[in-house]
Amino acid sequence: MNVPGGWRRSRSGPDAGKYGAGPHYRNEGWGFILPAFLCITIFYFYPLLQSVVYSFFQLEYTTDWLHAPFVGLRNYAAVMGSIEFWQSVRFTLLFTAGVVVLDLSAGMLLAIAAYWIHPALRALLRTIIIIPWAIPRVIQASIWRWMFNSDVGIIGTLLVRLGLAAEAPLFLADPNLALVCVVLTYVWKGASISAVFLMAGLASVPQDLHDAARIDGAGRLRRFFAVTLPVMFPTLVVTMLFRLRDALRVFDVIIGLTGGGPGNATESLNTFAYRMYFDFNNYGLGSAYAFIIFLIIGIISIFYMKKFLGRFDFVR
Amino acid sequence: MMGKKAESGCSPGRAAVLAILGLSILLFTSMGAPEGENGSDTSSHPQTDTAAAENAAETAAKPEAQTVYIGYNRFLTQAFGPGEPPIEAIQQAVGERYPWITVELNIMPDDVKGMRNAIAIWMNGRDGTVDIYGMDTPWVTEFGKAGWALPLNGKIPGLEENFVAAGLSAFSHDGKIIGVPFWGSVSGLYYREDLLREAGYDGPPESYDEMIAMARAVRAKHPEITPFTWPGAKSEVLVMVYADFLFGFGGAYQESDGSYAFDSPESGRALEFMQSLIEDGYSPPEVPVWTQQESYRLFVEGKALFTWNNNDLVLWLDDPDRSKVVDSWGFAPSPAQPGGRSAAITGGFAFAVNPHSDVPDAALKVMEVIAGREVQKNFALAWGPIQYYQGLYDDPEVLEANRNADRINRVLPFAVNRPPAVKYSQLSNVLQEEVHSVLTNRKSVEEAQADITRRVQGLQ
Repeated sequence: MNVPGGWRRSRSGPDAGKYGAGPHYRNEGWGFILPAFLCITIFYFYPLLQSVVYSFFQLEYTTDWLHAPFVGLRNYAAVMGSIEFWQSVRFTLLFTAGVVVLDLSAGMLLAIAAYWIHPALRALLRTIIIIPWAIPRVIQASIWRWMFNSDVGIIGTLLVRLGLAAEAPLFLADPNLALVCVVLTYVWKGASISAVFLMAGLASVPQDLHDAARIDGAGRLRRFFAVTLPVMFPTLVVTMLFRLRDALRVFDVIIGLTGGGPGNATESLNTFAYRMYFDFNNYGLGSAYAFIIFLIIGIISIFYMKKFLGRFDFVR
Repeated sequence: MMGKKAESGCSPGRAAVLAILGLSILLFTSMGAPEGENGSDTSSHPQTDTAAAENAAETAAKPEAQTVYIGYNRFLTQAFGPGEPPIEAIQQAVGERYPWITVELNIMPDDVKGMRNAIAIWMNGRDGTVDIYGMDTPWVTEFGKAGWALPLNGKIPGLEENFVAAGLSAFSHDGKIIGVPFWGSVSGLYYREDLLREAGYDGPPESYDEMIAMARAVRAKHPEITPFTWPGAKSEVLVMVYADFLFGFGGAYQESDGSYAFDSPESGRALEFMQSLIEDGYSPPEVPVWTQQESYRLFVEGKALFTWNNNDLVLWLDDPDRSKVVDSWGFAPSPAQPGGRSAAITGGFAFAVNPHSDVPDAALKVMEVIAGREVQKNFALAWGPIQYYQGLYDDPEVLEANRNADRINRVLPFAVNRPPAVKYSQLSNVLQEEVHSVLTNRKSVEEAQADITRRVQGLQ
């Protein structure tokens, strides 16, 4: 067991034997982790396990739950055979790719701006960056829904006034535009979170590295790519992991902005599972969807962590 | 106690009388009188023979006190017009007619979905928490099939005679009436009488061809007028709009064998027509994102010739503070092509009796009161149209409280339910997605029809 140095001292110092022998102390250690272990087991693993169990039954809200028919893997077969499910997989992956790229790019630009801006304006810019983060996503979706409104929305009006469009586009009725709208709305908030993470990363870049590079004749751009970016790479990777995971689980923006439409063009994995579970009350099939989504996100996350996080050599 | 009294000097005859009286009282109290009232009082305070006899006689004459719980959302405690809050009106009417029955409200979630889930949990558990509950129109098939509502045929005197048939049929399953309607809505076509008259027409269109002809004629003189607005956003309302067109083009929800008929040629023509309204400029391109409120805006502002909506607008379209079409509009059932059927798609709630109620007889008595003119009239005064009680909207007081409500009368006979389904929310979602896909050109009509057919299997 990895224990603090104080314990080792107590074994050999004047307090030796005060806490009893090693094994006794190890039991105390179990006592300390037991509450957390129980909480995680009860509130995290139990529902997960329960959901897996449900996925093997035909459970609907009209079902007598005590006599629900066992259907084996039939729910999983239904999920894998569903055209609409694969459409939602495709949309979610496209959405995630768009969000991660734009989110990190915009976040990085904001972070750099906040870092290099005149100190007198720094606090103001940071406040502005933080504001979208403070707005709940559903409210945010409603705000953007009005902004994308073809009749009275500011975005369509601006495009027409600037001569970029003859008439306001039907942002939320066109499948491609709807995807763009959902991504932009999500990035508007997500970029602020990324910016906060990346600001911390920027602050960790030692000034003397910049000074040394400057003495070597490196310009701003060169210093950014040769010094700043490599040093803050771990922060970037962790930020990306968070954004990736969040984007794969997108829900509230879809519900608030497009409702999954036009048709089901912007139906994500999570909104799809939600409908199955809560709208259609098909708990067996919904659990199968939820578990498959869990697996998809889990596999992508593990792959990502192995690919990137495994390369970090933490200072001991 | 009786034995003790007998031992302490009573004559045997007197002791026997007392014993019989005591047993009678015990018998009555054990039949349901709340503990601590009759039961505990009589046992802890011995009374004289006369008093005990009077008490016993009184208890025998009065039926046992019972409480009936109604499950509905908090709106039942509110009045939006000159009537009493409906729950108070029900309590008062029940109290006058059946004084031993107390009615209590079990407040359920405002959200219809939450309400349905709560009812489902109770029914699955054969739970009598509520004896009567509110049932939404789309639940009728699933609740009827699951046996979650007590059939009411022959159990409520005058029910079938007193109510408009369309209202009862909306809450009937397999020939059994399972709900007493108390509030409803129907959809219809709002039209501009003044503009049509100016174009030489003296009434609303009877067919969609005539509607297009009218739109052309009016637009020739008023190019700024939008011919037809309707809500095409992906929502439950889109199902109602589609249903209207479906019937108008001669389609139906089901084939004669009970299978869904959404892939019929008539359904295809209805979808093509909906699509063409937008493509040909008779309806604005914004229709696929318009909610109900957004869709009637142009009509209310006097900038549209026709709009599709439910009967809500009828009440305030003549209010100059809210409308620019005062006294120049009409409300009619939707048009129908030759061979089609004009339809007015219904919505609304009825009260149903929980088959697992602990007090089914008392619940039926409360339902009898709810189905009576007094309570139905109060609903009309407090909540406004539509109540299906015969002749209610001939009542001057009701008409005074519901301006223009008489216009709804001509639409009511065309009332049509929404598609029947055991899993209605799933069916509705499929129809919303596929019809919306057609309106937004994501899918052709044929693709959408094929996908509907594939996805609705097993939902009946």
